[in-house]
This record gives sequence, structure tokens and C-alpha cells, in this order.
Amino acid sequence: MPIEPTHALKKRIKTLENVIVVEDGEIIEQRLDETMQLINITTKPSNHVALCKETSKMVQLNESTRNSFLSLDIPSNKTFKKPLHLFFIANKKAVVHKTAIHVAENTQFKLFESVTGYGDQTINYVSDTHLEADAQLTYTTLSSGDKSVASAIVRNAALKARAVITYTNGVFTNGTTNQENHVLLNGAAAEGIAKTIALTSDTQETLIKTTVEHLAPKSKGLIEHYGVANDASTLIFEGVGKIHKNMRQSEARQSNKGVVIGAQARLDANPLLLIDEHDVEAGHGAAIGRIDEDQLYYLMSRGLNLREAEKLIINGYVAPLQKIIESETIKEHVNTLLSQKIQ
Amino acid sequence: MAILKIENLHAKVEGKEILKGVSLTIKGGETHAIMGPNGTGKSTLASVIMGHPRYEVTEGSITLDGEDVLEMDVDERARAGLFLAMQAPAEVPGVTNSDFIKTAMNARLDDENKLSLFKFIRSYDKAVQELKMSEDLPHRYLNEGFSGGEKKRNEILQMKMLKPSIAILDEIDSGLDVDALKVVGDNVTEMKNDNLGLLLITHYQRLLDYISADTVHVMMQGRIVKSGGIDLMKKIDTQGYEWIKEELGIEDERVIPEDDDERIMLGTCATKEALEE
Ligand SMILES: Nc1ncnc2c1ncn2[C@@H]1O[C@H](COP(=O)(O)OP(=O)(O)OP(=O)(O)O)[C@@H](O)[C@H]1O
Ligand SMILES: [Mg+2]
Repeated sequence: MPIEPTHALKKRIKTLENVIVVEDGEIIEQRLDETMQLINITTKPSNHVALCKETSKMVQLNESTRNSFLSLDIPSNKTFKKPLHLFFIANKKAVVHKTAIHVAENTQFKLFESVTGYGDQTINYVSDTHLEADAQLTYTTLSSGDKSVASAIVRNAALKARAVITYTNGVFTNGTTNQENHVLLNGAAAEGIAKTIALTSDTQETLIKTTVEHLAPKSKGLIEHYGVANDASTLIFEGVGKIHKNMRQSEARQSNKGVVIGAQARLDANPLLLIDEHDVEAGHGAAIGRIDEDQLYYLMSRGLNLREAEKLIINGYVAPLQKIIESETIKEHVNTLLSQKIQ
Repeated sequence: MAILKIENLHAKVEGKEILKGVSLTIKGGETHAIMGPNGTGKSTLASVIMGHPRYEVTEGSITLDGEDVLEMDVDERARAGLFLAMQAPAEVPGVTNSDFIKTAMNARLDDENKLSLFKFIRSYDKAVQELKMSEDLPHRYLNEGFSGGEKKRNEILQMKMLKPSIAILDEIDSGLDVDALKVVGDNVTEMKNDNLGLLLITHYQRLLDYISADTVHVMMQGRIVKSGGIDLMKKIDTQGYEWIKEELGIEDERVIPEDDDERIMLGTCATKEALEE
């Protein structure tokens, strides 16, 4: 099934509060309530220094060929109750975009971000987030788009002391995609949570890499990957928890869960723990395989056909994403993306 | 009125014959009980009727109102009116109990007549209350972390919502405390009518104090070896199975003698690992 056309997506966006829509490098819509107007929004990069430039080719490409930019400066000591919704659409142009987010001391903020591509456009999307001490950011993302759209999406974050970032990424795009999530815990007791839920279909190839680097003591990292590989698609999860020397009492955890539905589909998880310190807690678990025969039998014994039973189980994998999304509009949007992928 | 007819049923699993000629007819309005020592094929019979993919029928027939059940997929059997409350129901993380039951109910309805959310919640809540189950149940994942007793009640909850015409309850009484047994028993008894045929698999007469049965069958060596009225069950409850074995000249009542059993267990593990690779 083809994906929802731009106008249908834009219609959904109309029903949301606090949105910024960037299409082909231009802001085409911006609606912010009074509280959100406290945020300083610019489209001109000033003294911006890219995170993870040395390690990521995708970031290097972004730096050298960028044609779209947005920065959000969120003031200190504020609790924002409602989320800000960012939509990035590549419609008539290949987009190389960077979003720079700065959350000042002791502020709590929620961000929802959707990256969508149509036709045969390509997307290179990088977001850099800096959290000052005690700042908290709930960062929920969706990627969607046509089969012909290849995308590279990188989200990096650098955290000062006691700052907390919670990423929940929904990967629903139909094209080949390479997505990275890199969290640098620079301040003591900083916490990075990165969950990614990826659904792949057709002959799509998807690589998801999540890294949490512990560069301060008492820092906490959690990586969760959830995957459903359909048809003849390939889905690879790479999760890296890296605790540097002397970063005592840090905690690095990781889990990988997934089901392989398609007869020719492939799902691999490569969890890695790189630890250069004794006084830490670390662990990883993985549960990946075909849907359990007894589970299917149980569901079908109540009258669900095979496809319905599979869909119900697949829905279960998307539950962590649906749980964190507050807006009914976006929940519905996710359901639409899901049903387009899983027929 | 539904009629489930099983004739000379033979079935095997992992290359071993477990059912060796079961014949049994259950009609709407009737309640049959099957007893029998451990490992004599009772749960296997239930699984074969429901269509578990691991069992292969090698001989005999099962029909429901004249329709060939063996030709149907598991879900088709369910939609045709068969229901099995399982001895050990699967846990399905990520799938909430209410989503599951709603999907199962809708699977029986055509597109124009799908259940409204409101109607569903009303009847679901009512059934939850009647079974004295906890109220957070709708949002919990299917059977995950359920206690033994909660799982059993959840099976009966599904039966109440799906209203089958033939229901097989495999050891619905095991793991239930006295109060829970009464609740489950009352709920099943309340569902009894001329359009529901019941097959109770149990080890104890106790269950029949709450759900009365008309006919009692004894299973040994993968067959029904004796049938009778409620007196038969009473006698087993006080005297055990030895007298039946003597009467029929049976030495080992199990389908598979001990040492063979172990080999089969190994076989199962091996396939599981292969699947997980
Ligand atoms: N899937 C299976 N794989 C291997 N062996 C099986 C399988 N299912 C049943 N068997 C074997 O078939 C025999 C009968 O098992 P079944 O579960 O039907 O017994 P039962 O009469 O229900 O016993 P219980 O009273 O203990 O529940 C046992 O020896 C059992 O190990
Ligand atoms: Mg049994």
C-alpha cells in the first residue's frame, strides 16, 4: 500500500498544537502557544559545532552539503507541559538538514519529531542536542516515507550533570535507511535512554545503531531495540554501551527483542559492551526469533486467522512507542503507518 | 444443536502414536467428563480436536455438524464453534487481554457488524466481574505473569465472551482454590444450555460438584477404555484406577512407557533450539 500523501499528513498536522513544519528546507507552518514562544528559533547556523563529526560519515556529509537548518534554544528553569511537534518533509528536493537543540539548566521539555520523504528524494537528517545540568528532554521520533526514499538519520546528544534524555524512535519508513543514535553522558549522574522500534518490509534494508558513552561517573545508559522484520527485509541492530576508565558506578544496560515474520527476512542484533572500569553494572539480553508456535496456536484457537494473530503480536512491539505518545492524532498516525506496513 | 463426532481417532506427535482409536460423540446440552491417569492422552485429544499443528492425525475422523473438522485450520475450527480452555495457555507479552478478546470477537463478525468499543467494554467488564477477576486485567498482557488461578479464570472469561457451541475444558479445576473453583463452576454452569456441549477433562470428582456431568469416560493408553455414569467417577475418586486396569487387563496405562518419554522430551528441546537460531 502506498504511504499517506503529503496533503493527508498536513491535514493531521492541522489538528495539532505547537507545530513547526519544514518542507524542502523552508518553514511552511509555525504555530506556537505563548509558552512555546519563549523558545528562540532560528534557521541560520551561527557558531554551531557538530557532535560526533569524527566518527560518523553521515555527519560529515551533513556538514559539507547542508541545505536546511533549524535551531531551538530552550530557556532555563521551565517545565513545559505540552510537547513541541516538528515535522520535516522532503517532497520536491533532496534534504540535508540539521536541527540543533539546546535545553538550558533545569528545564523539562518534550519534543516530537517526524521525518518523512516522498518520491525519489534522499534525506540526510542530523539532530544535535545539548542538555545543560539538570535538564530533561523526552524526544520522540518517527521516520516514514516512500520505498524509493533512502534516508540517513543521526541523532546525537551531549548531557551535562544529572541531565536526562529519553529517546523513543519509531522507524516506519519503507526505504533503505541507516539510523544512528549517539548519547554522550558527559556529566556525572547523567542518564541516557534510547529506545528504537523498527518495522521493516519488502526488500528494505535497515541499520539501527545506538551508542551510549559513559564519560562521567554514576552515569546511566539504557538501550532498547524492538524489531519486526517482514517479507524479505533485513533489519540490523547494533547497540554499544561504552564505559570509559574511572567512570565508576555507572550502569549500562541493553535489550534487543524482535520477531522475524517474513520467510526471507533477517533480523540481527549485535549488542556490545565496552567497559574499561570494574566498579560498574552492565548487562544485555536478547530475544529474537520467529513467533512462537504455541502463541500463534493460542491466538488462532480463539478465531483469529494467521495474519490477524501476527498483527496483534506486531502491535505489541509498537506498544512502547504508543505508550509515550500523548497526542491522539499522532497515535492514529502511527496506526496508519503500521497498517500500511503490515497488511 | 451442535454435534461433535469423533471416530476411531489416531494421532501422533514426534513420530509417536499417542491417540490410538478414540471414539466419542458430544451433543449440545450434554456434559461429558474424561478422567484418566497422567500421560494417557487426554490433553492430546483436546489439542487434536482444536488442531494444534504439532499433532498429526493418521486415522479416523472428527466432524462438527457433519462438517469435516480435520480439514479446517485452527481459526476456522474456533469460528465454527469449538473452544478449548487449555491446561497450560500460552503467555503473549505485548498483547493486552482486552485487545485480544475484542479481536477474537470481531473475527466472528463481518465488516458491517463489528462490535462497537462501548458494547465490547460493557460486556467485557460484566464478565470480569462475574468471574471476580481483578479490574486491571483488560490492560495486562495476555496471561503474562498471571497466577495459575488467574489463567484458568481468563480461559473461562474468553469462553463467556465467545459463546462456543462445543467447549473442552482441560483441567480447568487444577490450581484453583475452593472459592475460585466455585466461581468458575458457577459461571460454566450458568452458560449451560441446549446449544452448548461440554467436555470436561479432570482428575477429581470435586469439579463435578460444581458442574454436573451426564457421562464419564476413562482414558488409558490413548483410548477411551470405559464409559459410565457419575457412579463411575465416584468409584475412581475413592478407589483409584487399579480396578479398571485389572478388569481390562492393562498393565501400563500410559501411552508411552517411561524411557521412551525421555527421548521425546529431548526431541522437543532440539526443535525449539533450532527454531531460535
Ligand atoms: N508435543 C508433544 N511432544 C512430545 N510428547 C508429547 C507431546 N504431547 C504429548 N506428548 C506425550 O503424549 C503422552 C500423553 O500426553 P497428554 O498430555 O495427552 O497426557 P494427559 O492425559 O493430558 O496427562 P495429564 O493428566 O498429566 O495432563 C505423554 O507421554 C506426553 O509426554
Ligand atoms: Mg493433560
